[in-house]
Amino acid sequence: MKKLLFFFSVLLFASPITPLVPVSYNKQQALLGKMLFFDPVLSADNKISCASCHSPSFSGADNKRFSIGVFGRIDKPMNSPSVYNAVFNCRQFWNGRANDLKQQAIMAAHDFNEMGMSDDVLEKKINSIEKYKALFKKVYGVNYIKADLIYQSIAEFEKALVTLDCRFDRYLKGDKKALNEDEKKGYYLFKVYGCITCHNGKNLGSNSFQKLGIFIKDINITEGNDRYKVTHKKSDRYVYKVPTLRNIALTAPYFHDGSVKTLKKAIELMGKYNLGIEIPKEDVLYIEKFLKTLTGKTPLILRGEYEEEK
Amino acid sequence: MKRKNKFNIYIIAVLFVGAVVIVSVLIFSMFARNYFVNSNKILYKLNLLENAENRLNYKILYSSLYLFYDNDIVTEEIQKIRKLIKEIDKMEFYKTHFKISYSYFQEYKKVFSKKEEMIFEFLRFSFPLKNSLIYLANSLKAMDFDKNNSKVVFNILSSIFLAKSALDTDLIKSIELEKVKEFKNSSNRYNRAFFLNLEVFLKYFPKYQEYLKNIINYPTTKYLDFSISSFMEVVKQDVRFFKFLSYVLSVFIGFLIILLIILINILNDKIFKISLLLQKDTLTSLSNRYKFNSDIKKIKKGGVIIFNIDKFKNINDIFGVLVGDKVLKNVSDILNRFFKERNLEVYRIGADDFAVIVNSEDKNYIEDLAKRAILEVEDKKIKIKEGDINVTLSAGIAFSKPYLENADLALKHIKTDVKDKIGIYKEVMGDIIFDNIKKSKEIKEAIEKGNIIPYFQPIVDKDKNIVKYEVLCKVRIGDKIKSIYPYLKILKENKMYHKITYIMLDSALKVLKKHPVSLSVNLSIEDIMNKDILNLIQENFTDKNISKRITFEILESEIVSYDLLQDFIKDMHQYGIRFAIDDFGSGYSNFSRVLKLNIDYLKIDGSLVKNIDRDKNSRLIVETIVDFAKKSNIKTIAEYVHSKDVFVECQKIGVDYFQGFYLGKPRENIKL
Repeated sequence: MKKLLFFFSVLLFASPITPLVPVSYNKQQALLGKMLFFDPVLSADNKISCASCHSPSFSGADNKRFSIGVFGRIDKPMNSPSVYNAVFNCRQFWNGRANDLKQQAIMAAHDFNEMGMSDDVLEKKINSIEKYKALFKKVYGVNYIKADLIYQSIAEFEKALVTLDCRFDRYLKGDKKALNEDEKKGYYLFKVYGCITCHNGKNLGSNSFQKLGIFIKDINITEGNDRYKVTHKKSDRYVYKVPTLRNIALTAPYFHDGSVKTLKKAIELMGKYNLGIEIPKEDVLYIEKFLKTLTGKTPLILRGEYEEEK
Repeated sequence: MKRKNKFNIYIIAVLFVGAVVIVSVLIFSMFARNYFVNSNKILYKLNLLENAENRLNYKILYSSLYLFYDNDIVTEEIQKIRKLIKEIDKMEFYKTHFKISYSYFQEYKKVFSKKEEMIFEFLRFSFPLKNSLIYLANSLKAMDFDKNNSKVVFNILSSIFLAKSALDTDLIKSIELEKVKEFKNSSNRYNRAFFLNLEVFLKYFPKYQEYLKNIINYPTTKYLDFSISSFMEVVKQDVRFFKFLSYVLSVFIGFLIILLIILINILNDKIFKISLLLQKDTLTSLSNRYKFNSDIKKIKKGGVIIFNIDKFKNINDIFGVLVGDKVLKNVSDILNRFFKERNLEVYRIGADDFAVIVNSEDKNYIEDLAKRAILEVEDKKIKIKEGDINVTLSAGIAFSKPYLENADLALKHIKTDVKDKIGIYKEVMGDIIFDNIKKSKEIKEAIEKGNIIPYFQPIVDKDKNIVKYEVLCKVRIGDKIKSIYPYLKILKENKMYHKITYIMLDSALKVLKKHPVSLSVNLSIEDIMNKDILNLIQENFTDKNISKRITFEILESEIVSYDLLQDFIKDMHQYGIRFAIDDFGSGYSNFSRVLKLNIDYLKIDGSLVKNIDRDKNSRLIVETIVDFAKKSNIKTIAEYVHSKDVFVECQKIGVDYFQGFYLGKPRENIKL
């Protein structure tokens, strides 16, 4: 093994991962967006909020394989990705059908299985609530709340959902003690196995689309909403946005269909499916240890003290 | 008026063109500013876009070169471009004004979104390819293979690295997967990985190199170039238009300048004409007082003559201003001609005052000049509708500063004595002014207090029988009774003379009513034009009882219009009132005119009578007058009969009546 590591070491010159940085946002709009984010009034049956599937309790996702939408509809076959750090995604949704956060919010609201709303109904509902009328008047100076401003506010809130200061980020910034030796080795293996080829950038992923199972002929996994649904190119089947590895320890289950329950299994399968190599068990453990250092702090806007500031 | 209109039109035109120029310059600058700000913004963004495109291509190439690469760099570049596209798309000015460029930009937008998809696809092929390369290269060291296989493996690897570097699929065509088939099921996982990664590489490489070439050569920049070049084309045209506009504005401004120059010229012209007007008198075209004042400053030694038309006011009053103007014009023409021959200029310095500056030390020459000028004027009659007008002039001369004031004083001084035609300033004359003020006060007071007193001097026949009395005017100043004579000039100047006449007539009327005597009263030409006096005569003197006993004496030298007087005499004759010409023969006598007046008496001037016993000439003149009078059936009266010799002599000549100290002094009361 040492031999192998020695051979691979030639290539380890680059640092293709960068620490997270805060994104500037409009505080008033974001706080209004936060209120809307947690308000089930945005759904057709008044039971589902954005937070239902993107809960702070589960690091911006949920713990289910498939999320539950309005009227008990099960949003199959996609596992809900985390809203944390979604602002850094090159596109939104697993197949990148939305260009940005706002578009994602619109699509989620309109989705039959998710919120099941139309803009007309949404506007009628929100405009009937005095609390919102007063707040929108204060923040945007409008008397009538247009749906666009609702989505705008939610998107602004989501910009604030950045999980700063994970141990690995501190390590990248020069704190060599932030990682222990095992974790450092995990990072090293993460690079030498080529995980980093796709999981790079601020988000360790979410900046390209890749095919699941390059090395597997007949993959036994649900296709779901892949890139093919967007481009209608045959070559885009089983192509998904590379998911972020930030807070990955908290966002089980894994893969687009939530079919993998543990992180170890996910690492193992990725080696098999996309690297064409069976990663030895001990290496998987090292990599897992490394991935666990990617858990950042709860975003400021979700903490108690931030509310008081208001 | 016409000229004034023209001038106004110019002012309006200048204001109008000025306003048009200012407004158009403002609009033009605002428009141009907006235009260039906006078009610069557009061009700037388009250039940013082009740069971002190039940077994106560069980063993709960079990404393809390095094995480990932060792909955020590529996606962030894409997002930057998308943001720029959004910003440009929002620019209304771009959409409306640069339609062709904008439509190219829209093409670019479409093409770019395709390119964007292509980039993501490229990345999808690029990443696995990178990993394959890593695995192919590195598994080599951990693989198990025999000598036969080693050659195949090395051949494969060399082909792969060549192909990757050359981006040429031809180089991997020779690779036969079959030859390494046995690795697929090898017990060594690196052998298996080698096989699997080779398989992926061969599958992905053709697509990878195709996408890379396509992305780099994608026509996004072409549309962007089109967009920029057609944008520049429009800007070029617009700049031409702006140039044209600025030329038009320049022409406008030029036009405005020309108008202003014309305006300034007109103004200059006006100012010149006004300054001429200031120097020239409009009626006579003579230089005026301003010119005189400026010219007089230049003279060092010499004299100034002032000519004044005698009794000009009367002419104006009797015949009207038009005739007065004609007289002025005539006199000024004659004077001007006379002095022009002598290289001298005549100025009109007052209503009927003319001045000449003579730059000579010869006082006699100057005085002679004045005399000859007066003769020149008086020689010529002025013809008007009502007949001829005789104009007489007086002159004042000063040889010292202040010329004009001194000459004027001299003139006023001689006006008190009609016999002098020319007065020369002497320093004592200054006292006359104070004297005049004093006299003016005295006479006013006398009139108010009733201190104008009639005196009566008898007129006798050859047997010394009193036939009538002349009413003479005396004035009481303080305790003294004085002659009215020194006050006459002031009375006339102050328009009070008729008041004296009125008092005399009134006094005469009282005497006539009381005593059975005949009286002779002096009337001036001004008096017969005064309403109060005319009324008094009409109401009280036309009564037969009175009219037959009254004679009006008229001073010959005062007669300006014989026609007017003739009418008055004719009118009064029908009531039996008689008329005498006073001071006849004092130098202005004109027999034929007097004859025309149809008067009853000629009073021979005292200057002729007083020396008649010694002066042959006087005697000859008086003889002629008496002879003429007799033939014309006019009675003669000799004034100034102060001695027996004079009385006897006059009797001899055949004078009808006599008046003088020898025969009776003027008294306050009539001795009956």
